[in-house]
Amino acid sequence: MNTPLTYHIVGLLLISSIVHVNAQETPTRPTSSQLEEPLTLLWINTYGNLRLTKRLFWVAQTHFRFQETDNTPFVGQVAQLYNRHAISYLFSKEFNMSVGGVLRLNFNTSDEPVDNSVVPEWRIWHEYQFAMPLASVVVYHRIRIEHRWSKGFQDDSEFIFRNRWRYMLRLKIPIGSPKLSPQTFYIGPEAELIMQSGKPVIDSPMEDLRLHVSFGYILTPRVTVAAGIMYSIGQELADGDFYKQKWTPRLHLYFSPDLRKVRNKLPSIHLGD
Amino acid sequence: MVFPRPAIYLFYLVFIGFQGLPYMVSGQAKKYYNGSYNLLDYRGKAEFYYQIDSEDTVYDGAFLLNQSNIKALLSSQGDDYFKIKGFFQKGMAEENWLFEFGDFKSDGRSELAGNEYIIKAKGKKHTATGSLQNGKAVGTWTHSVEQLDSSKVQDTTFMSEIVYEAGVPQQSFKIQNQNETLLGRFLRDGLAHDFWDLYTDELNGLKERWFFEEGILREIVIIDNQKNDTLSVFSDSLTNEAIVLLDDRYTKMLAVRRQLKKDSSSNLSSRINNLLIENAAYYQKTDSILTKLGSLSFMPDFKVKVEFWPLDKKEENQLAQLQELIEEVDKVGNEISENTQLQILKLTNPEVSFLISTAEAIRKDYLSPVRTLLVFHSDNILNLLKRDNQLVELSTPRSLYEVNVPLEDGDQTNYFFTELVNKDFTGSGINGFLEITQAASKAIDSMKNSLEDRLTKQERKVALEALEKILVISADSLRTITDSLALAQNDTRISIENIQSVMTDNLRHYSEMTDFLMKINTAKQLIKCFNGMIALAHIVAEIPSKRREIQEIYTDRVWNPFTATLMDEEVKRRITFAYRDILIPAYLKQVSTDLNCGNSLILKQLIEDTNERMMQLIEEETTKLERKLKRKNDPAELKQLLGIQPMNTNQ
Repeated sequence: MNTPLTYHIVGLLLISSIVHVNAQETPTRPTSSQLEEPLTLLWINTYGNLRLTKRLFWVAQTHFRFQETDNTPFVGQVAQLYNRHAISYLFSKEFNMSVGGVLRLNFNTSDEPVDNSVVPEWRIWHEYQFAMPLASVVVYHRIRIEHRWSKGFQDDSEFIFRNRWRYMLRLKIPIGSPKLSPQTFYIGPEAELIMQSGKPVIDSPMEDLRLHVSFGYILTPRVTVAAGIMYSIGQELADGDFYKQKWTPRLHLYFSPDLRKVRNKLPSIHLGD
Repeated sequence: MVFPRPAIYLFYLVFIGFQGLPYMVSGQAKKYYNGSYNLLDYRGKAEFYYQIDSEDTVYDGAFLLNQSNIKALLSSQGDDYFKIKGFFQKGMAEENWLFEFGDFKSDGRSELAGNEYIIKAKGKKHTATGSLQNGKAVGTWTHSVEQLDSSKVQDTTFMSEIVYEAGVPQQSFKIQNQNETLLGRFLRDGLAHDFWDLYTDELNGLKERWFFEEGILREIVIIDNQKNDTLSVFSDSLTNEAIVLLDDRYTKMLAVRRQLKKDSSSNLSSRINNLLIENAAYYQKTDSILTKLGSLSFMPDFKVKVEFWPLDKKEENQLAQLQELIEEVDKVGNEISENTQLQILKLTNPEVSFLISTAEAIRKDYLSPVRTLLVFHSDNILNLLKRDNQLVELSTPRSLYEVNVPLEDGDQTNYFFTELVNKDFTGSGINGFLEITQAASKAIDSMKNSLEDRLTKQERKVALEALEKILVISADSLRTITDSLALAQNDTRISIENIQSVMTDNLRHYSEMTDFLMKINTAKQLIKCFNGMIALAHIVAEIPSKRREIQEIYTDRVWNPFTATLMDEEVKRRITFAYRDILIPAYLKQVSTDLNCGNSLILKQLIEDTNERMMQLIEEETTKLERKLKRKNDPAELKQLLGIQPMNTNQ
């Protein structure tokens, strides 16, 4: 189980040497890609969507991501604490857009000694989501673009900058109900392709392909819980030959309180319908 | 002198403005009036002097009121001319007076004489002239009525000449009309005396003679073709003498006396009497004017002597009692005769018909002498008649009174007042009348009661039939309504079906009733009950839609950003739970298991109130209430918590 981690570290270390090597000699092209052993993780995700005005929302997401250790699968150690915020603007029921920032704390998950066990990672992100009701199902197309600054755990490591290009196709299929409504179960299959670009990205543009299916329950219009399993596959940044694999059970809590005063709520309930 | 313009206008305004109004010139004590004036029905132009004595107008001096209208004279309507001219001294008529009343029309011809147009009048003119002293007639007073044509007297249709001394007629007098002349005389004290003779223009013209001895009318002789018909009046000396006026009352008394004497040979169509009446009418005209002007009355007071038997206290009481009884009898009689239902019933029910006819006969026939007696009393002649056996004999009806009523199966005869048959009314006077009236009143009362009994039964029958009609209508509409409402496939169906079955049970129970009174009462109650149930059925049938409506009101549409959909969210869920899951099912259960006439309206109201309360609660701040509602499932407790007023069961 150590192998991917080792590769990861090696990959990171190689970044500088590749540049260095390039200047000196032509690299040898591998004859096949390598599929790494899957990691097991557990994500606990909270999604807050706080209504501020008729059309403005405050998006506040906190994800707790755990990762296996040698002895403990899925939850052996904390891998990242993930804080995503944005202001979201609701154009219509079919389209909304968000802009915001992310502060992610990356924990050192390798056995190698590092200077810092936690390093921050910063992002600016914007998102464009289209919702398309199709009979009882709602189909979502989500384009999310992130500008990402990350660094290693060593004191001397510099922030590297990458862009992430994400597209997600998601369905929410109500079960036993003609539409998504309170007290309704649903199945939510998702497929998201995350591409990346930037100077550090040489031969690994496909950062991740996430296939996720969740089973959710809408408690109220304001609270939904879901649980799912995600398989993901993506290239190692340092070496595009290597493909990481992950199995991640995910737990989701969605909450969307309305912070407006009661007086202001009533007229805005019907959003353009 | 030059007036400034406004002053001229003012002058014109004052002058013109007052020209048509009376203007008064004040003397030292007397005032003078000249202007339009109304007196009784006489409306004309007046000129007179007067004084004001404690706000009363006291005529003092010459007086003239007249009216003649040339336009009216020339019109087809004709002119009602009059002229009243005389003199007053401090309110009392004095000196010579002239009264003229004309009813003239123009014959259309006119002539010019001495630069004056002369229009010839045609019509009737009543002239009265005479003198007054201290308001009392003195000397000769003449009333004449002349017929004019072309302003010339064609005929004198009436003429009376009476000599007065201080208002008392004196000496001889003459009253004549077109073809009759009455000559008579008075003593100095105004009492009629000697012969009063009436002549006609015919040969041997004496037609009627009244013979007075110092005011006592001894006899009346009617002469027809030389055949004398002598009616003696007061042949003996008078025991209770009194002086009265020779007027209507006196002649009425004469007629009654003759009736009492069963002297039917002649009715008193006395020509003398007629002339006296005519004369009195003309005097009345002048008298009313003078009286109105504040002077004394001066009717020609012809005096006569009569027997006078004043009514004693007992008699007055008896008469008052009689009057009351007769009024009561008439009231009851009218109740019977004016009752339309009785009139209808009469057509089919011989007994009713008999009773009605009998009551009518007793009232109109049997009691007619009593009525006559009361007329005597109101004419004030009862005190001129001795309430002796004669009067009783005349007025007492047949004691044995029979009523024949023609009926389909032969006439029916009933005898009434048998107890009065052998009663001797001699000397009973007015009391005899009282007795028979009391008996009659009793009889009519009992007839009325008997009729009322029948009527009440009949009326009730009719009323019940009418009630049942309404009952059937309301039962039908309740059935129709519940039939259609029970088609709905929801939780209200059983309740609505039960409303119908409760109705059917009630109707069955009603139809099994035999007691009449109870039926009437029950029918009334059931009509009310069914109407209440109709209302209840409607309310119950509305429950599903009302529930939906309330559900909708208690639902927010909430935007779910994660699904990007609007989601319905029930608010105040404990309240809606209490309503939807406890109260409404409890009401429906009560309607379907425990419904009766008494609680249908209460239930209806309860459901309405609950619905109404739900509409209010959505608006109210209910956080506290919702906390209290936690785990409460008892309908009564919930009603109380939600503030649904328990209805007054008396309603």
